[in-house]
Amino acid sequence: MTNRELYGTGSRTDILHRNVSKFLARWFGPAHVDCPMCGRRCRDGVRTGANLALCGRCYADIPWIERPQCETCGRSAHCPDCRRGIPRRFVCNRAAVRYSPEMKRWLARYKFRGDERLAALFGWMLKIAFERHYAGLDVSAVAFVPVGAERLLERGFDQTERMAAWFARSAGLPLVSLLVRVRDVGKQSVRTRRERLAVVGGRFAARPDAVLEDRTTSKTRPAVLLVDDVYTTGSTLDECAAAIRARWAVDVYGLTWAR
Amino acid sequence: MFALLYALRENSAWRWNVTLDWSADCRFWSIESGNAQPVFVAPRLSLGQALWLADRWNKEMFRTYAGFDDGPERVFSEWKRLKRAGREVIPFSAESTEEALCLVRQLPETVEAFDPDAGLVERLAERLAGRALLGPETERLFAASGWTPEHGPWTAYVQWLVLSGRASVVGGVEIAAKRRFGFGNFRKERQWKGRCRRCGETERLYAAFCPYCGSECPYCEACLTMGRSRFCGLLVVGTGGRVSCAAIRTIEATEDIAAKWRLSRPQADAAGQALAFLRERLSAGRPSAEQASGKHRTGRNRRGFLLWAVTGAGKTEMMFPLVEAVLASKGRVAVASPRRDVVLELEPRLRRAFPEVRTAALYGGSRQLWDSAELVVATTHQLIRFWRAFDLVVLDEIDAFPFRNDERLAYLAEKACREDGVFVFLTATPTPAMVRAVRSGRLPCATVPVRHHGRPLPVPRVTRSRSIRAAAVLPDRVADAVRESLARGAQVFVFVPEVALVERAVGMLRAAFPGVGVGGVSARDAERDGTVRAFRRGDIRVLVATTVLERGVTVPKTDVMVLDADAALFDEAALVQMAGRAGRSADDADGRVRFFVKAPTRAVRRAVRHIRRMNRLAQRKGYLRQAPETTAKGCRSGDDEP
Repeated sequence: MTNRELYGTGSRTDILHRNVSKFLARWFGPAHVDCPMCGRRCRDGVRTGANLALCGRCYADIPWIERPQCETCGRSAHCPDCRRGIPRRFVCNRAAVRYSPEMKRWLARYKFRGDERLAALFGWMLKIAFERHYAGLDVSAVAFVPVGAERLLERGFDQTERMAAWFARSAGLPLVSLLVRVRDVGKQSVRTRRERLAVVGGRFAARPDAVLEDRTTSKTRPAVLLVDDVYTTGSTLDECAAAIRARWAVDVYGLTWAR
Repeated sequence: MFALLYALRENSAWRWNVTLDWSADCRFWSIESGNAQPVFVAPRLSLGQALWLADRWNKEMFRTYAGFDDGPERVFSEWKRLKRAGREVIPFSAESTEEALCLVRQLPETVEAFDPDAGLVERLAERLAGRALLGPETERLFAASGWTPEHGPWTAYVQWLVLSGRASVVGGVEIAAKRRFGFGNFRKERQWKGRCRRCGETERLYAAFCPYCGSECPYCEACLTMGRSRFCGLLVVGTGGRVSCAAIRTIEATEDIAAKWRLSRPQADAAGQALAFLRERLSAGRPSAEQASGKHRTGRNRRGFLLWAVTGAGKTEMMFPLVEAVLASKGRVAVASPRRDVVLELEPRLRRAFPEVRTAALYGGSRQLWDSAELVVATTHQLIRFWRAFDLVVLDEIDAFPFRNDERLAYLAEKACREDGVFVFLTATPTPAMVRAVRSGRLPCATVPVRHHGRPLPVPRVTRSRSIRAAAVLPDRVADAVRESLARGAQVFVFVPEVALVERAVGMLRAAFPGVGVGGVSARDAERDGTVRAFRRGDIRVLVATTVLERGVTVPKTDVMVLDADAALFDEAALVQMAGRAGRSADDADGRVRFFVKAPTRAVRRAVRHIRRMNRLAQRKGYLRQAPETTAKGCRSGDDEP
């Protein structure tokens, strides 16, 4: 008599019945997936790729940015930051969602707790934002803000690269690794606004071995889409854009998951 | 985590070892003095890969291969042979396998000398004993036990403990090739099966690219809230075990137990039986570890004991004599409850009862997480951090959320309990499998069929009524019942099967009873605690809830109404627990319980039968101070009395 047997539920016929019906449901029943956020089993979930489906309730929690108010950073509210007229080296930024407490929780689960499976979900959200805000933009490559080597080992994965990869794959765009982090100055997410703005310059550089091919046919400068998770002050994106433009003659457009 | 794989000559053979920190091994084998000449596998491997290779190579003929001069080729041929066999699924990156894997005599980098502090090592070994911790957790435990970065890297200390046999290092997730049959091949599924060594999960494992393995390796999503367990992630197991606890000798009469812990006679009887079980199982002639681990489980080697006490019987009080007996013979005890508030409430009581032992309350956010203690009161999740640590594990409300119907709890409990230790399960509603085990004599059991006040359990009245799902206003029979209860001055618990129905029922009740405080709670409700407090105070007279409140909330004078009791979601256990909310205090022992159904289901009938059986048992044993209700009006369906 093991504990395992004791905790098993139901009579032996129940267990048999459960196994048989599980088998039948799997092969012949409607497809259903457990919602990755709340764990509930749902049939009518919103498919997001990689066999993930959000349940209706969690989907309703997403504060999509449908119409950005700020043309520069893609914020859905009035934006005093961009009004100050800080020169930006990227053309503009667009974000998928507002950075609400609920979204904070989602990101924490993905980024800090390490639920890597969610990369597909985030990539899917980026794709929706891309189609919504950048329709008609001829993008020659998708780049991303890289994580430091040390943090990569600590966390075990590059969260931005993962979501950019899912996005690029689903949007049919080439993903290129253009940047490296030169100087690791610690986590940006633990800094205040003033501190973030103070840490400027020299954090990123173009990868020496990176190749950027212009696959577009238009006469204008090629566009590179730069992916990051959260746009807060815009300094990270700005620096990365500077690093890219120092090497290649391109226009950099930001695409972040949250703003 | 990266690890280094190396071999030492052991007579004519080679012994493969994995190390987290070469400096510790260097010191341990006194490499400098030239006693041993190690061979290293050159590119850095992940811990999972290194452990797997070491295990493999130690077992296979490769170990006995004496000449190492043609080593590298040998490694490759071995490796290719394994791959050809097609059985292996261990993630290796393309570079680290065929082309680059080679053996070297010298490490590329120089090694700093490691000089372990003997006192600190002892302390760490003692703290780590009986634990199973992930890498970051180990570091925190070390930091809590006096280790600082000045002492040297924590991984070196882990490695030192491993070498001296007081800890072992494994990967967080074990994987093996999946056996595949016939048409399973049509589905594109993962080719491996795995198991989280920490929580026992086998399903929710996902492979993701890993910078250490250079390939995809699985992590466990089930225990992610407690840190990430991964194939190449470190899991440190403190094997520096303590000896088993001494035999329990004390033999107390039931009256003494009752007097000492202020138990009622039924409680003391059951506690006495459980004590007898402990005496038998934790005696000097207890089975060896191997016997107890399940291979030779015969009649005598049962490890579990069920204390089946009805709702409101005072389960918690009964564990005190058991805890005392084990602590007195220098054993360690864990009390695990699914609810955090129970832990917070129980720990001070236990601490006062046993002031001479160290006590720790463990829950998410507890400050005692890394303390070592003889008596641990923990939420069930926290058992995950223990490994063969306790002589007695008391599992409270085993059938409740979060582990209802979950085999992971079994894994956690088995893991936390010593091989020769015992479990005591406390519940009012054992799983059917447990009941079966009791009936066939595989699981010893003591029953407390009566509440502490000695009055019978209120038997539910099953009433036919329309479902509220379809109704526009509160069905008449429900309204009558609620009116009756309010008229007699009781508060009313109204249970509904779904979250969506809470709002609906609250609306109906407010319309039917204007001026009466009606509140509703569900699992998703942020206001939940506030509403429950208002109900306790009496500001809310009628509380509508889903099964989240089926346990734990006790309000003196309450009646229970279960609407749509025939819903599939309500099983026998849930119905019995909900019925158990009524009549808990001595002042109002005859609370009323009503089940409203369209047609009684098997679960409804069984729940009624369950409660009656308990009342009958109580009467037969002479525990009742008053005869149970013999006729139950409107209970045609639940009537199984002879």
